[in-house]
Amino acid sequence: MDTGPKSDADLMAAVAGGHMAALEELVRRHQESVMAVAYRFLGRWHLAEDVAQDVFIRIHHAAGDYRPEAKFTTWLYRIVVNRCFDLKRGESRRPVSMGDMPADPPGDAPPDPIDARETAGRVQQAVGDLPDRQRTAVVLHRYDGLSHREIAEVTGWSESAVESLLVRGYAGLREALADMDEIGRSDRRETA
Amino acid sequence: MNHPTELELIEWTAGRLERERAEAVGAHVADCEVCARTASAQRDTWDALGDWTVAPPACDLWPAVEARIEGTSAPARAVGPSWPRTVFRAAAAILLAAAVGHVAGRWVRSRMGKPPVEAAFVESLRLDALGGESAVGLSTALQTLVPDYLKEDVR
Repeated sequence: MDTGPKSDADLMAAVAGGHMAALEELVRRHQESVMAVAYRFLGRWHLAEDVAQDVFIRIHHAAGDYRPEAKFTTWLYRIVVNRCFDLKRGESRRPVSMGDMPADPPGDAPPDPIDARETAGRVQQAVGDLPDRQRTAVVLHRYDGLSHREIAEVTGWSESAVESLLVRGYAGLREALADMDEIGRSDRRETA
Repeated sequence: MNHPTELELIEWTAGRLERERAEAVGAHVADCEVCARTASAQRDTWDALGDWTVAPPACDLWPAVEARIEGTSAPARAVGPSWPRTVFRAAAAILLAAAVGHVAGRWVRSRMGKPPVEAAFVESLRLDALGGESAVGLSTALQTLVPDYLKEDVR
């Protein structure tokens, strides 16, 4: 008898059958990644938490619609992205800015904590300044490791549209972060 | 010289191109100043993006999710078939509508005067000369000629 952890597809089948323990397992397994994606899109943890709760409730209600042929994380991210866009439309009067963003929790000890925080802040600001669709594509690509085809599946946009968004998004970030060469670059590079 | 696409350069700096294509792009970048400059800038940007680490605050979403699900009265998925209840409700609605219609019809007929078919029947018999002895203009003796369904109104 297989006592290993159940796959996401197996857990979804159990959720569709009304097993709350399976949903609890899915929540605990994916809550951090869901919150991270939402935070990178929305810029605020309390909004990210709201989105994450909405996402798992949506999963509970729509469990019967999930087809195991599709990758669970693709389906999950699609719900996250849609919910983030819904929330962003409601928050459109308050653009994301450094002043609205709470400090990130401390990560691994960097060589120079002050420079690392400043770098992270600049990056956060630059990503936050991207148009919503470009930001979505870049975040999913850079931080969640999705290919442009997978991003197209998640968002429902065409592959050519995603390609264009990635190219323009990264071009915008290169421009915004071009003067960061003096900040932490020598700390990152082992060789010139 | 066939330049790689911008997306290919992005994927190449990220180490996500397939091996064969990655080797080709690498060889091209080594010989092309323009692509080398773009690739270098992209690599710096890619690394800088990696400095933005995100660690969600320690929290457990499950209690809040569970409470919100249990707070909604409707179950996430109905247990057992629901069609018997639906059929029963539809049948009850039909019976109710029929009963209301019957009662309403009787009330309307009781409020109406001589029904049109009775007026035409009387006229066809040309009973005017006999004079009306009842409220509807027919003599008692001729009541036997009246169809049964009109007798109630004739009385």
